Amino acid sequence: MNPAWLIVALLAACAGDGPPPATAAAPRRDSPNQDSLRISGSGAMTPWAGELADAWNRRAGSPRVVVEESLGSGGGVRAVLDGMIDVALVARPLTEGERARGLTAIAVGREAVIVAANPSVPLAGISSDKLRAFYAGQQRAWPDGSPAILLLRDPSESANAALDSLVPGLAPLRENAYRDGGWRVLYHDDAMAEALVVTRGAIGMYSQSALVTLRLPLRALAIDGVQPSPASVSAGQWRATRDFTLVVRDDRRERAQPLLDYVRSSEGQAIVERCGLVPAVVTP
Amino acid sequence: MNRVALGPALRRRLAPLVVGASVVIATCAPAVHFLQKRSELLTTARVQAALVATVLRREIDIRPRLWRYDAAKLDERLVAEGLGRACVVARDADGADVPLHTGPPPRVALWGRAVVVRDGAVVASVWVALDAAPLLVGTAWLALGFALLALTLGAILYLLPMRAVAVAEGRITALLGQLALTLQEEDRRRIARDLHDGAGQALTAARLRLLALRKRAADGPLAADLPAIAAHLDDAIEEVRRSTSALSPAALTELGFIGALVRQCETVAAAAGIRVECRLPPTLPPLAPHVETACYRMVQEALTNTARHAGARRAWVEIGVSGGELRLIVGDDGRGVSAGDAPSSAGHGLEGIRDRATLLGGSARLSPATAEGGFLVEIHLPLEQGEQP
Repeated sequence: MNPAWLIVALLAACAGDGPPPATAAAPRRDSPNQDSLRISGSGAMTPWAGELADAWNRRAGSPRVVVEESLGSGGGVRAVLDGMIDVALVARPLTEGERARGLTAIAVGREAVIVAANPSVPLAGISSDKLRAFYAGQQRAWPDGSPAILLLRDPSESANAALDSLVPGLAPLRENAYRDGGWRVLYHDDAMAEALVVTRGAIGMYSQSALVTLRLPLRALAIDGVQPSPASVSAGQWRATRDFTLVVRDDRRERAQPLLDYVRSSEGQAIVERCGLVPAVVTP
Repeated sequence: MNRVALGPALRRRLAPLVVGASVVIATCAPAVHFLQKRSELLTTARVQAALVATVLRREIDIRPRLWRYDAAKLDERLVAEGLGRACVVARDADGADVPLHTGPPPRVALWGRAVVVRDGAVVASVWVALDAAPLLVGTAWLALGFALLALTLGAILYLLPMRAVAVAEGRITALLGQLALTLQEEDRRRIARDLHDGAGQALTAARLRLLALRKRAADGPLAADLPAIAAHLDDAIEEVRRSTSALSPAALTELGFIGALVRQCETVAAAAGIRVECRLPPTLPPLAPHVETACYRMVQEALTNTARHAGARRAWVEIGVSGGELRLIVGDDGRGVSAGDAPSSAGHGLEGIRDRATLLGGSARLSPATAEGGFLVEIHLPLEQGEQP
């Protein structure tokens, strides 16, 4: 037997049940539904989007706004590009590549990225050093001796960068914490909220607008004496912020334009303010 | 004499068997190893694919319609499950890729597959590729090891019988040689006996009658011719006696091997007028009769050649045992014999020496005795088990 054939046979035997070629990567578009606008994206923006949809649907009715499950900012961008949703909830700036593909971001408001705490935590605020000590794994108890638990968000969460701007030196400690695996990692805002609520002594990075909108039984900790609030964000005292935007595809913007106009109207911006955000449009 | 050739026949039958056995030895264990390890690797790949499918299932449960757009979260979850470095391919129900950022596909991939079923329908398929190169390399090393083992065993399986057959061939050839020598000697003895009992007796009787006639016709007219006739008869009787002696060396029976050689030396010395030294040990291990006869004949032939052709003043005969063989030397200080000037009778005699040595499984070497000349016949004969000291 020719050795070359033997080698080919061995390689073939090694191949196993491999994946077939993928189908063509053509944009996936749901059939346009003229009766509804589908919105999805950042989990932090989803509670606010729910409030917005309720108000819009009560007011206008058509096209009806449907808020889908959260996908994260990146997932929302991809879904809007594929035409699977009409408007993406994006809590980070668009990249040049995303803009080049025909996406436009409309600013909605600015929110505070906070460190939320379970009500059992016996502190109202925390210092940057103490927070870094938590991330470094050096702090495992509260002053009253009760166990302290740090809940982490996943590495791709846009709020990580926001908190880093408030607490310098946090990023490498967080990377170490991922590697060590000593703290639990949550992959969704919903999961983080649930874990913070049910875990005694827990603190974790969260969205102030989601906390306000959902009226969660959590406390936003002051850091280095500064309390997170729209006022401290506006004053520039609370630097852990991120801008909420609505992202649409230019070629499909027309359908979403009434909603975009509503968001930036005084009525829409009032909803933004009510949800704990600093409005993007200053209204008289 | 042609050597008995059992080897080729055995080789024809043995070679396919040895090759077949070697192939089986070389391939079976590596093949079993490969199949077993492949099965284990495939199971691992399938388990990992099932794990990925479980992660996907959780995401799909949360976002049934848009799950594939949160690939970054899927990536992180896979990392958290320890699958971050695995090569994972995920496709939705339409066959479109889910853009995961896991490890690159290995050069030699073994794929395991799992599906995500929701409400009775396959909503996603997952493939995990594991690197099969170590499996191939391991199998190759194992195959190399077993190939060497097969080669070694094959060589043993082939060479041992072939060597045994070669030994048997040598033994059979030697036995045939002995048989040929024995038959030859038997033939010579029969001829000698016939000469002695027939022509010899008749000539002797004729001479006795001639002697009687010579007495009666002492003064007759034929008396002058009778002595010449008697001399002719004496010559004939002597010729018959020499022939009889040459054909059947009675000296071996009468004097033993050493004694016969000594007599042979003395006879040649007397007949040829040269000095012949017998450097013989007092005793030798017992030799088979056909060996003694052959040695006697070879010494006889060599000394005859010396006497007839060498023009030597001195000759010598040596015999000894060493290294399991009998060493026999006949040398002289004559002019030597080269291939170009050897008389045909000498050539035939030396050829006969070679043939006899070969028939006994030994060898004969012919060379100059010294740098100045002379001639040396050196014969080596293997000793049988019972012949060794």
